[in-house]
Amino acid sequence: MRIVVCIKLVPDPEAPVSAFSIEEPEKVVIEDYVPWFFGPYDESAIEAALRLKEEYGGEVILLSLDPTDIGEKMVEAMATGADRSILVEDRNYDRTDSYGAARTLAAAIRKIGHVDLVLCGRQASDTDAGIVAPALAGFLDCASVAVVRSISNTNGSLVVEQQSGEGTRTLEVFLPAVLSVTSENYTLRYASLASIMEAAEKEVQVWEIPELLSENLTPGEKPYLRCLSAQIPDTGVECKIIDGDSEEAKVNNLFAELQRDRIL
Amino acid sequence: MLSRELFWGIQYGWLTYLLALLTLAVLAHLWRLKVKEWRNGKDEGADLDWRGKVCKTLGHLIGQRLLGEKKAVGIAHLLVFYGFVVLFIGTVLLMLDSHLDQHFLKGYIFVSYKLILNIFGLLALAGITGLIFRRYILMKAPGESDGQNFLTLVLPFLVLLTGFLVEGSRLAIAVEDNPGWQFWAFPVYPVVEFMRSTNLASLGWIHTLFWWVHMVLAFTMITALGWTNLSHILSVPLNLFYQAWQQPGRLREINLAEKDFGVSGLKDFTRTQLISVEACVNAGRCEMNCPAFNSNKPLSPRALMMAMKQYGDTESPLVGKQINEEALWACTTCGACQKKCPVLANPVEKIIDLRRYQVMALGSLPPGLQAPMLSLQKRGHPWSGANLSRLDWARGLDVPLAAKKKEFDVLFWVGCTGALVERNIKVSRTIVELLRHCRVDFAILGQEESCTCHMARRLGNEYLYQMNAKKNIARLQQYTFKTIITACPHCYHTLKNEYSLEQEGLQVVSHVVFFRDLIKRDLLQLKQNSGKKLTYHDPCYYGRINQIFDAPRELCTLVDGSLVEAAKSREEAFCCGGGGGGIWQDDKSGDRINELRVKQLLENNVERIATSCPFCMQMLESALSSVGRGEVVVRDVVELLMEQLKDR
Repeated sequence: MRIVVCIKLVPDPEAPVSAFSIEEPEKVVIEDYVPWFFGPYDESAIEAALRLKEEYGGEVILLSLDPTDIGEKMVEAMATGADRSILVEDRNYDRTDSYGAARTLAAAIRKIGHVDLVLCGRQASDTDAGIVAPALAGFLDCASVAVVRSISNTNGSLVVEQQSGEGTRTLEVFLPAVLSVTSENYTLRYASLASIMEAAEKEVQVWEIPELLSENLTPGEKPYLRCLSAQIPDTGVECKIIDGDSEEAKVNNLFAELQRDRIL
Repeated sequence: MLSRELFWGIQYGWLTYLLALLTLAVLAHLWRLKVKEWRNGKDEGADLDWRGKVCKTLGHLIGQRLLGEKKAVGIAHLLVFYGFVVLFIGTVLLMLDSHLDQHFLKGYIFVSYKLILNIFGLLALAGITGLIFRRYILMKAPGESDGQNFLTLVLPFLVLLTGFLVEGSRLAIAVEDNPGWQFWAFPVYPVVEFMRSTNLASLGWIHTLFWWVHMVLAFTMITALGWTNLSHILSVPLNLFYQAWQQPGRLREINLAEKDFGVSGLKDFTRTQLISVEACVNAGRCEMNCPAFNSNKPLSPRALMMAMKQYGDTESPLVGKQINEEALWACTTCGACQKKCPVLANPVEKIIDLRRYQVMALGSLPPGLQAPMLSLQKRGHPWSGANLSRLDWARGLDVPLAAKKKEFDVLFWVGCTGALVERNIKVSRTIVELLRHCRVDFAILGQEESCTCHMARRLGNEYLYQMNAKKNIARLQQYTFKTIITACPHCYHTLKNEYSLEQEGLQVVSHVVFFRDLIKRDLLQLKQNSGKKLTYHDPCYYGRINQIFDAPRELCTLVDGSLVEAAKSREEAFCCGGGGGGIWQDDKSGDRINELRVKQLLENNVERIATSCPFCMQMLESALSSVGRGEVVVRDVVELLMEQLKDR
């Protein structure tokens, strides 16, 4: 089974609010000290791919779009067990939205050739949009299931568990397919220094958009979406003291509050 | 004139030389096997200053200071040690005397010679008897196969005893030829008198019998240097030589480019490390103050060292087979074992080397440590979930940044914990206020600070450490300042001892010493002390490992008149359990180390506990809460200073 995992560099999801500022109406500026790495859901997608490879054999290819030098990060990601990786240099990356990204990724995937399965994280940790996976499926004209918490292979088709707010449902998916993966069951294994050093010898192919264009594949340049404005929300802290006549009454009142707020 | 005749009363005495050759051959063979294993280890390259090392080794051997922990045992061992040294010299002198034309062992020289040998022989016998008594009567020696230890004690005892019996029986026969024997051979007086009273004509062959038994026993004892714990006679001085400059908390430097990822099997150790493994005599003093061992974790430094010493296979991985994985990760690197070890075996260094291979070659980490390790790799600090930048803690304080100031006197190294963990942020803010109050010209690195990677290093991730060290040192070199102060003993230890900043002309000072000095120079004045009962918990990396004991106590005494010493303090301080990754691990087995420590600290009914380490702070507060003594407060020493500050 040939699996392509689409991954994206995002700023540290734990970056504090103080690291962000807004320039002009819509430009989000992030402080230099904030590190960038592949988001946790992307890592879950890699782990899912690796487990499928371990169990059913095949090849795992990592795919990313980023004009900046992310080679080192790709090597670290490959060190977990992927076979090779491909970087598509998109000079318009800054202005690319989810649809544009999906279109470019689709072109790259078609260039790879026969691909059985495409895995993505369920959402990127910066935009939280979750659009690329279904959009990719649209461009590639194949099945798509979002927010999948487990995948297994049963002679040719996949059985997946889809996660939702209310519970899960199990689906049979016919290949080729695009799935977006959630992290409940998939935590990316720790890559040792030895495997990182080994991975440094592996191939990181770099493709440019014109290449994709020249093969009659059409990655998009026109934006589908444009950000009009961005804001940093005001976060305040409100402290409510729960009162009551006795300890038991206080507990009951607290319980009632939490239920009212739909936390319990 | 009184003198000594070689082989007096013995026929076939020349057989001794044959026996001696045989003995040496056996011993050489047994040791050749050991040395062969050592040579399998990594070569560390030439080390100069062997003269200094010899001096230091002799110092250890002469003073026997390393054994001083247990006074009675130390004295007994001293007697045995010097007894045998003197008897050995005596034997050599006798050999020289009998083969030289000019006999020198005669007259007064002979008398002194005999007297000294008799005294030291008796002392040695007393010593060994004491040790036997202690092991088999007082301690009720372990039931398991004690064979080796039994021989280690009994062989010397019998050699000494038969030695006296030989002397006694010889003197019993030749009383007239040995005038004054009652003086210079006083220990055998009862033996001689008894034998003469029996008036046996067979005293002659009794003497011969004792003589040969003594000889065989002596040579057996010498071969036993190859197959019993008596091997320590050779291995320990050798190890003391190589460990002459062993520093607490110091780790082996490794070259990652050469794919040295630490230790998997015995052959991955260096030669001197293998010698230190051999030197372990199973004393068990390392267990006395080990926080993991004393909280019923599977780790015993002694068992770990012995498992390696007794493992015949130099190739196979140690962890998982000979060494329990949970035991490996239970170590807090507090150094208590290193301090107590009488042979300088240094278990901590070996544990870290084993951890290195687990992490860097195999990617194997206990689950609790994966999050901090990944966080360190990705964002440069281990406190995943903090959601803070390295400057957020200083909001509103307008702290000067090194990048803006460029030149200043003091760099305040905040550390990851001091910047990102809520409880410890309070201490950092307090320090800034105090520095301001004393008008110290200081700055912080802010976002330019990266983790010193002290913890990463002790968790086996040498790569992260080396990378960040390079980054940090390059950063520090961009600015002009004289002193670095820090409030974290772990940062302190690494900045001072591992970054080699002092070579760059920088001084690394702990926050306790720094503020103590400010008070001495009258830059900081305190009000009358608070009178609350206080005890001080020594952090391992300020106290035992870097010997900073007095400065924090001086500060505590100034603040609170009644400073009570905890039962285990200073060198004896019991670790809080936070080091070596302990702060992030859930205690799978055994008791909680921090709860044990807190109970010790509370023994004196104190209202407050002072400390000077952000990890100790977290561990102790958490323990107080879990043992239900949340009313006792824990404060950093500088927080106490702040409370008692004059003219705020």
